[in-house]
Amino acid sequence: MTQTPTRIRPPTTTPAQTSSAPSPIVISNLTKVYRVHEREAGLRASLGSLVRRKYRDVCAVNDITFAVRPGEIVGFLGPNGAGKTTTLKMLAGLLHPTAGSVSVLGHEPFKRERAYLGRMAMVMGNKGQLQWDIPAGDAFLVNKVVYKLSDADFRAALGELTELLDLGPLLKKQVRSLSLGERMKCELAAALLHRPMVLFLDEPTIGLDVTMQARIRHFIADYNKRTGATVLLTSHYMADVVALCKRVVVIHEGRLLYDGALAELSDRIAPFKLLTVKLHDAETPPELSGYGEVQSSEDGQTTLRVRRDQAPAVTARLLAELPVADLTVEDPPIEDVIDQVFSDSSLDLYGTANP
Amino acid sequence: MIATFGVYFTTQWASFLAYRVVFFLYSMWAILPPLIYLAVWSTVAGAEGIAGWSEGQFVAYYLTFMVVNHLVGSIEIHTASWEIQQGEISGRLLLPVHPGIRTLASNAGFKTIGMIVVVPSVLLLAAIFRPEFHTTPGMVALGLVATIIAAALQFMIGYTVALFSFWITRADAADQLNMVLLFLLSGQVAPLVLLPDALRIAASVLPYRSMLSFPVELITGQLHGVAVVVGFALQVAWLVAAWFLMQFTWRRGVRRYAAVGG
Amino acid sequence: MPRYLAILWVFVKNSMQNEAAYRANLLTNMLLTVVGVTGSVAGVLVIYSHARTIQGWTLPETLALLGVFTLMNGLINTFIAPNLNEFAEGVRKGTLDYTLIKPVNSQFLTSFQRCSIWGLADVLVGLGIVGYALLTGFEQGVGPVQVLAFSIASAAGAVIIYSLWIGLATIAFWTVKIDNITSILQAFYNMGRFPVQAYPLWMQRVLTYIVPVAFVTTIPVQALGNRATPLLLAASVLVAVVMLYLSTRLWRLGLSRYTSASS
Repeated sequence: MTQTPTRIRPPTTTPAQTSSAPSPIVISNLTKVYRVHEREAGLRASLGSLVRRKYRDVCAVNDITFAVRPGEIVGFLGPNGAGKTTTLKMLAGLLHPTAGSVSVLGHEPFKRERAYLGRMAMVMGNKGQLQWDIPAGDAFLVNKVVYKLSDADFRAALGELTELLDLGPLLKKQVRSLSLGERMKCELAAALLHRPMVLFLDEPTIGLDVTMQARIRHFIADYNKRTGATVLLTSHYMADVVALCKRVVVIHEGRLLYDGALAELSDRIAPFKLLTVKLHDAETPPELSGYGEVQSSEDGQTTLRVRRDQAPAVTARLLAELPVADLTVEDPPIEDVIDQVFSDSSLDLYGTANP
Repeated sequence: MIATFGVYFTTQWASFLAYRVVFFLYSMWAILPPLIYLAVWSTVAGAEGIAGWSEGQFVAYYLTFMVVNHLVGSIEIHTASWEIQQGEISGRLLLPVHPGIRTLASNAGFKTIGMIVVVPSVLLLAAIFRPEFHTTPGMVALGLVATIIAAALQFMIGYTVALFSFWITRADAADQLNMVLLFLLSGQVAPLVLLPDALRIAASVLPYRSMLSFPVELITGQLHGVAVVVGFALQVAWLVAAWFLMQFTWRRGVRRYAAVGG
Repeated sequence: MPRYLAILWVFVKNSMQNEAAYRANLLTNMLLTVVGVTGSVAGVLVIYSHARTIQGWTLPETLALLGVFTLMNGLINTFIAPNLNEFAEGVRKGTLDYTLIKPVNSQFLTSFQRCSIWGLADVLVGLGIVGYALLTGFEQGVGPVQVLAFSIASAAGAVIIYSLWIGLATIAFWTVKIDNITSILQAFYNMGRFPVQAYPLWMQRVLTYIVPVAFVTTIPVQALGNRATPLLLAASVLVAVVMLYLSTRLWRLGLSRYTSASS
């Protein structure tokens, strides 16, 4: 089976608006270019760089366009350095775009208007905002006074978040003596005290154990349902994306590769099924390459990759022609699909070849 | 051990090349505080002088003080205290080399290389303030010997104070106290001869005169005859005492450290 | 309009929360302050044991100067020094981002979010020394007018020293290793221990026009001793306003670099 170059076309029609409310996040032809010093090793080079600096332009985000609907949770996928965090920072107003336009809640984020900042929040998984040498409850007071929350509003929000995140025993503990998971819960709470309508989450579950990851995911989904806040989430863990995001935006090398439903992504890129076969006669590894592409063969189990439309036929053939002890038919794991998107050099990303 | 010393000494050279600005600023540590007193005393002395000291003599005194201060002082002592507190010294204790060697070597390296900054700065200040030296080459030579002894003494005393970190968490308080006494009694605030009697005697009874003022007094030709001999005797006595004090504190400290845990 | 005083109050309260937990530190910090100040006072006394005045400055006046120096040092240690370190770290680690997404002026947050109330011990001791110096007698009488002038000049001086520090701190936007730069400022500030007239003329000019430390300690005490003309006071306030403005411009410049060039 030969691999023909696949062009990934974003959906030709924009997803229908479910309500007449305007999109809280609108990005149009967004571009960000960095100027980086070129510095070579060696004494002569460093002396030379004192006199004449050489620069290199790095295009971190290249002409991205998409809009998010109110109350959506959108997953932002891409390998490291793809431009996810850069895009997120432009949405938060932390970076000035080089070209294109960004609009969140009707504001231009980079202007950093108080009205905008008071309605958005950002949580970065590897950096915290809480003062680490005081009890968490006291650290929250900083946000109360910074966002000008009334006593009543603050108490209500804190009460709700304490219940949802189980913060009770944590409030009196010093932030630095909290475990990573406990600290993440407190960081999330701190960011949500002022009930933002837009939430940017940059790798919120990074470094957490599996149970805590699940808890955080559950909380985010719950919070989104309760408040209708729009959430933009980046993550390395596919489990986060699968659990929370019906819609994903895939970024690679600064370009938007895909924008649509997660399920469809798999269909478009890898319209395959994985057949795992185990034969009665486990001694001799079977020669199955005639049925499909052999992915792996170990412990008497062979996994075949078969085109989706051919899967039923191949399954029937296997059952008929071989002494099959066990057979499973599954979708390829989303991780593999994504990995393939980024590593497959035969993928024609920009559509110059015939589809 | 010589090889180890050499290694840490030369890392200072690499450090200098890499962080020239940092080096420059660290070297200023020895020069800027005495500069304040140089300026004030030379203003106060004015045309008539004070207690037999002319303006030029004050300038000569303080410029010498700056150079000796650089050659004698020890910043690494403060990091040694930090290392003990942070438990980083655990790793060092396992090496077959006394951790003090590393501190000493980088200290010696820094001082040597720092002269690149200190000497031109002092010469520049000499051009601006015009010192008056009344001394002989012989005295200067003796002064250099005394400087070396003073450097060793200051290192040992400072290291011993740093070792207090094995017992108390706020050893920086002991360090501060040491700094204040050094400030008052080592000749920085005023040449020791101008101090009230009580303080002058305290400076000799305590190691501070031997740590800094004595070499400066020699180089600026303040001492003659018996006074020179007495001064050296005092210095050597303190050197020996400090050595034993340091060894004692180290041994006790390591024992306690092992018992208490890092 | 954010309520800056309310925010500052929370910062101070949180600082007390933290520091009060370490009771042993309480004692040692007070001890350190007393020891340090004793040393400084002794130093001044030694010089005055040989001269009646330093360029017209009597012992009580120079002691008052030392008091103001200690007071300002206390303010720096309470509000500025802890924040500087935090700020440099924030630029390096990127936690500055959190400061920037808050609906409050970022320079304000960065300047005051980590207070260390121990510096207030220095403020109290400094005021005490000034009080003591006043009791031992200034050459000229000190009345309410002088106290007012002193307050204005001190406030201006505090603003100037703040602007110098925060101005220098913005260098962290470009190089990140700022502790060495701050030690230079510390060295300049140390010259404020003595009246600016005690230094040679060229140093006086440096301390007035380049690094205006003269306005931080010398001028307030001159005001207290009725030796500051209204013109000098006005100049003091003007310099304070200009320096504060320059520091905000520099901050904005550094910030624009951070938001365009960092990733």
